Amino acid sequence: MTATSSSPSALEVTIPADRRRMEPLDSGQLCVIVPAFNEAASVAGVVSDIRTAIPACRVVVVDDGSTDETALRAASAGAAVLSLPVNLGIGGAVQAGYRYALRSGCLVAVQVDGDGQHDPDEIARLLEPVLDGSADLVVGSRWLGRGDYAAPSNRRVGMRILARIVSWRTGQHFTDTTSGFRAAGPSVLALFAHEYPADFPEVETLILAAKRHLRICEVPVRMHARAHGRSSIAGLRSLYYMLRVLLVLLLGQPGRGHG
Amino acid sequence: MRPFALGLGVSVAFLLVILVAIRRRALRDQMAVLWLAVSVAMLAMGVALPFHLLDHIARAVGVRYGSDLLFGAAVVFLVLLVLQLSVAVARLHARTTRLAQELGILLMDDRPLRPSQAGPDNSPVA
Repeated sequence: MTATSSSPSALEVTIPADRRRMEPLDSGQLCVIVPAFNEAASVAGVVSDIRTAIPACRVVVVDDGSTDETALRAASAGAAVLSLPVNLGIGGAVQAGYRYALRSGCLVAVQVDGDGQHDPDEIARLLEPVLDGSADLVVGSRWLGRGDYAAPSNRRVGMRILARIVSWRTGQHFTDTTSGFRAAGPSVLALFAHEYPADFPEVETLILAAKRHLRICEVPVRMHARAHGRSSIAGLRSLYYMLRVLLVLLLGQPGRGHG
Repeated sequence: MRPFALGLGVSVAFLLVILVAIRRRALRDQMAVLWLAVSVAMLAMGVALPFHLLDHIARAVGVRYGSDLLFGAAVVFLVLLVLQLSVAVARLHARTTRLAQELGILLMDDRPLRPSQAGPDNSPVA
């Protein structure tokens, strides 16, 4: 990363502002984004766990056009609820959360899935590199030895292939590119509010951030097997998923979904 | 003479349909011009049928039969048209997404959630 300042004398201008440790956040500056589509069974638990783990934050549940009681359960658990009028899919929902976060003056955002797969107790670990100024985007990886998350072998093979390709494209080693458990510092928050891929965003956003020379790091986290429902990406859809993501990875130009 | 009458009838009918659609504003500017051009071209081909105009043109560009040239050109035209429509749909999709996101954010400030408002319209965005 190079500083684009014309004054070479002061040491400070050669260091981007966000490379230094951030000022302590007040409760209005940290936003936890919880995308949820028909997660009435788990969303309230996720919200209250987040509020217990990180008392000083805004929790916003993005209800992606659910037909069940997701919005109500989230609201009664104390979250702000952003209800989308139509189902946009995970990318559109998460981006709505980032837009809300940016507009309400947040500096740091954390993404936690509404299905209970991500353990809110791990949010602090995700936040650490952002707060100490060593990373702009932090990805919680389930494959770095913490927890005992298990995936079926065919899924694991797919995940490994994606991790390889992303590592190759970015020149940085990744283990868990499909993880949606992430923390974003100010620059990534602004980027994602502005530009976010629509359909299968997790992998694509890594390339997007890397292209902008934002610093990405992985931290080990514990993940649970989902408590309810099943993955939205299963069966034939997972083949389609791999195809789509590979296409994006190999052709580049990610993130042009929603400008 | 029968193919001549049939061709002419169809192309006149098509032109009428396009004109009505434009009058009712069912076609937007760009597309209106395009379809008008298509219907005029159809009419011209219908009128020129007895003079074997198409065959002459075909031979001039090195295609043996007029009908082959017509089908070839039609396929190219339709593929390009569908491609253009796919791009247009993608653009509309991006706009819809943006609007839905903004609406969601606006409603948050404006309308605190009440029990009667559960279950939004869940029609898919195509």
